[in-house]
Amino acid sequence: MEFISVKDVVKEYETAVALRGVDMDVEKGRWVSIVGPSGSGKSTLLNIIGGLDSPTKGSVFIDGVDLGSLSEDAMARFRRENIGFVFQQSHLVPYLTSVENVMLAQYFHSITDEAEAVEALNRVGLGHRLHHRPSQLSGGEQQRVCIARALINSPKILLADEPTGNLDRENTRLILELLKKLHSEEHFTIILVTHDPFVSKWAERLLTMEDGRIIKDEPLYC
Amino acid sequence: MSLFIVEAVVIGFKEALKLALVWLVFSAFLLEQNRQKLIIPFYWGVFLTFLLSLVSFFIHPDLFVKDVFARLIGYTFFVFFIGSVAALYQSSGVRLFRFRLNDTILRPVVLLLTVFYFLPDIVGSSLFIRELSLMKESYAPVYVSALTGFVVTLAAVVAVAGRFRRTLGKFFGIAQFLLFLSVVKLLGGGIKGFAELSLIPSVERGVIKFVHDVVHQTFVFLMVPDHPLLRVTVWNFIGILFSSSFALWIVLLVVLTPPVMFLYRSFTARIPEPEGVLTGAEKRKIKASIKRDRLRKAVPVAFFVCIILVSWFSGRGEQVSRFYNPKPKPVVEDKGVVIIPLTDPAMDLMDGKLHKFSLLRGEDTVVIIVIKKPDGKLAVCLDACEICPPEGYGQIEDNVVCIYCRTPIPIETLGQKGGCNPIPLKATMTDRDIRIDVSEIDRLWQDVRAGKTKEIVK
Amino acid sequence: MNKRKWFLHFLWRSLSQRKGRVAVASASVMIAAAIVVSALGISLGIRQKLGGELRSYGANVIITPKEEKYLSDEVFSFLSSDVEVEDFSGQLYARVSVNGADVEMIGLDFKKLQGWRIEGRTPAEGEILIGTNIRDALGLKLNDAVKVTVGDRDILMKVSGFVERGGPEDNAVMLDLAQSQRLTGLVGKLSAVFVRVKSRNIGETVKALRDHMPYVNVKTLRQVAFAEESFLKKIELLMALVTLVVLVASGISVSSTMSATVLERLKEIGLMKAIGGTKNSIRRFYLAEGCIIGIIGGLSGYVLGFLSAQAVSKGAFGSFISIPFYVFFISLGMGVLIAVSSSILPVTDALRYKPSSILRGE
Repeated sequence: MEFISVKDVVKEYETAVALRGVDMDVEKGRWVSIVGPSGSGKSTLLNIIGGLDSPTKGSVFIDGVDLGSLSEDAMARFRRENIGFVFQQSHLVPYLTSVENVMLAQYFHSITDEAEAVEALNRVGLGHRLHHRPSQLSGGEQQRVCIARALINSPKILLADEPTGNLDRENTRLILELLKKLHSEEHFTIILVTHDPFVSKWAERLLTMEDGRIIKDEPLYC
Repeated sequence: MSLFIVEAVVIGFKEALKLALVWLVFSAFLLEQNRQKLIIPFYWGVFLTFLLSLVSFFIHPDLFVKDVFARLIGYTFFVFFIGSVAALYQSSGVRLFRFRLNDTILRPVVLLLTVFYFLPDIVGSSLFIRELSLMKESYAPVYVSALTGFVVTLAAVVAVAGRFRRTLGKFFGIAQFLLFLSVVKLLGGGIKGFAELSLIPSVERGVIKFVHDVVHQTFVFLMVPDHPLLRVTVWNFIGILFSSSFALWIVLLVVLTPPVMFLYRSFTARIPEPEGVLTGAEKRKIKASIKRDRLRKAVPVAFFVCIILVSWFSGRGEQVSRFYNPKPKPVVEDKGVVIIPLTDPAMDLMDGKLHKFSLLRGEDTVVIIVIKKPDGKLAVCLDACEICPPEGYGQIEDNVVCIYCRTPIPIETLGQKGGCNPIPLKATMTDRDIRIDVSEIDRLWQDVRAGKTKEIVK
Repeated sequence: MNKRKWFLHFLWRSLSQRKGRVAVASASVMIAAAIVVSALGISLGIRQKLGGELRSYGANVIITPKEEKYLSDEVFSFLSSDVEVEDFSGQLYARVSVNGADVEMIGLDFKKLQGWRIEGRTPAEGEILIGTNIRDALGLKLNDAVKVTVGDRDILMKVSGFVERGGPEDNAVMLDLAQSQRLTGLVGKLSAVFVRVKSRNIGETVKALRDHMPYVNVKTLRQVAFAEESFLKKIELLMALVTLVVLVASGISVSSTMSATVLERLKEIGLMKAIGGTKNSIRRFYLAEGCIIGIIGGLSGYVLGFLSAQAVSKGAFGSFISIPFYVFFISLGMGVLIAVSSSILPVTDALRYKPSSILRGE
């Protein structure tokens, strides 16, 4: 079985259908981009893979674990050890500093280790912004804190939902270069959702979604 | 009559509870250590204990044997307590031993320790039940009720608690297990039915006596015994040491220091850096699990500390009830001599119990105590010592105990001068009575009364 | 930094960076606690005070002669041996004329009186105390000499003071019991004995007195006794009702404040879930926060309530009251209880959401 395996996933909301039967497999260590117009269900798919949402039908396996069989708390435990998230809006706790936001993820995972959190922020180039609160950081800096936090527990998978959606071109490039560097060092699997062709082409594989289905699956060589 | 039955049931219940709890924790511990096979020698040990205790029914043990078993219980408590202290010390990071025993060696060890642990209690309880049944003059009901209490309790605990073993095991390391054994001993080691459910009063008395004996012997040995100034001052100081509340605190301190230190360590000690090539997250996970394990292992220790504290303070009431303090019998002087008959219809001086006689001297009532010593001689003393205010002595088993400072004095040492011992009186023994010179009584009493202490220090 | 320290650090951050919110939440807890503290303080204080004032108000049992005209003071010796009797004093009534006016004369034991406000001084030998109505009718002043006529004897006495009690005393003249007995020639005689019995045993004691002294009438002063027993209960009931209403009202206000606090942090909760927080580990933060808010509110509420209770007491009784120390712990405990219990619900509710629906917000 593949590392990530999505089988015939359907997600229906009360008023709309977001996913109409999605099948996909991702090998370990790959960088996959999912593109498509808004409303095509790509964010929903990402949330379901990350266990933030549950499918109406179908199943998701990660590393052989059926997410549907996990209780909510078991899912949280699974998540903190295996999955890191980066969202479009940099969801940081507003009253904690950068380093404390990273430590929050350590706290839920096991115990806190400030030196390690500082090191992680150094790696994303924020060594000079350790004790600033999110409101004192620029959008790009906030996203870097998010990346540091997402990777602090050495997850096997990084799920990114429009991570550069709110950033200008220059910051977007910096973030993507950072991701590329970390990906080549730590070999985690990336699934990145975007509508921006500039962002999507950094991947090794490109999935295109439309109307709740995957309509195109092509390898990228860069 | 029915009280015997109830008492028998209580004893059966208590022994079964001890056995069941020890089985429960031991098997949980083995489950966690993945050494379940070691439960077999435990079962054999229990079986052997019962066989031996059956033998004890037929050999009509004398007082001496009974006393040995009573003492053994105290010793087992101390053995397991010291063992647990050593293991606690070890588990908090200090390396005392470096060996790891395999099952071949452990099997006989477990067997022997099981017998060592349960034998005194079971034999002692069996003997006590036999005494009960003798008092009742009909064996069966007492035996049956004791056995019923035993079997029902054992079955109930095993049935109800057995399934919690997996969880329970996580809380017990070897240190916690040994501590558990000694706490069970402490709280349930008494073998005399209602009168002595727990060991606490005995342990307390034992420790005070031990300290007292050591101090006493040291001073007697070191000092010119009759140097008045030194003697009185020092003994005054020691008198403070042996006041009842002080003794309680000393004993509590001795018993509770190791577990409290362990608790302190388990909250504050550094967690060693995990070795090997690991990511930060993996290291943190290992550390967190060590931490969780430490906290879990601290739970039983904290629990036992609380139990010991609570039962210690509530157990102190028992002491008072078993305190034998007879009312002094008035005697009169006849031509400068006080004559106390050895027997009269109402009493027998040779019965091993404390006897008190009061004599009116002027405004004061002087009390004289008489008691048979183990060697068969009579000790005749004033009911006062050189140190404490003259409140007199009571008797607890083979000690007389100062009512003021609660220091226990072994009866065999009565007649010796000094310290906490009652002041001995010269007495002439005849076949039928004891004769004491009033002038001797007056002289010694004047010393007590005048607070000899102060005069000499001046 | 270990886990516990981090937990506390997180709480500290969360509270110190959101001072406004914390202030609002703890202020609403504070008001609840303050009202409860002052209600409790006042009712406990009133119990103390009123207990004392009712004591000086008078007796709760009265003994009067049955067939003869007067009681003999043998009654005293019996009363003084009864442990349920707290105090007693005898009175003698006679008709006299003062400066020609016919009035009631009361002979009583001034030493036993408490709470009488005498304008002037307690009458000494040869002195007399005048009820205010008599004073007004006769136009008397302090230290005036009055002519008291008993039977056919005239005696001059000095006015030592006046008294107004809103009762029969206002229409009477009063003097020391022994003196009045000599004046009327009734030495050792009494018209009535007022007895103060420990109020919880009135019924039994009255029965015992009747059994032992069948030759006298023993009656309870119902109005006094009844007032003593029920007045306090009424006040306490009232205070309890006020407290209950306040508790409900402030509970609602606190819980709405707390749920607003939680709701605005919904994103935070969703985020914690996304980065792997279990329900319990997240809930712990918010309940600990509620706990701290409760402590702050409870403490400041105690101070506020204490002050306002003192202010009320000063206004109503003209003096401060002493509030038992345990009220402090009640206040603290109540603050914590209100704050924690009103944040449990919104937090549990917030934890039900799937993180995706919380975090989606674009």
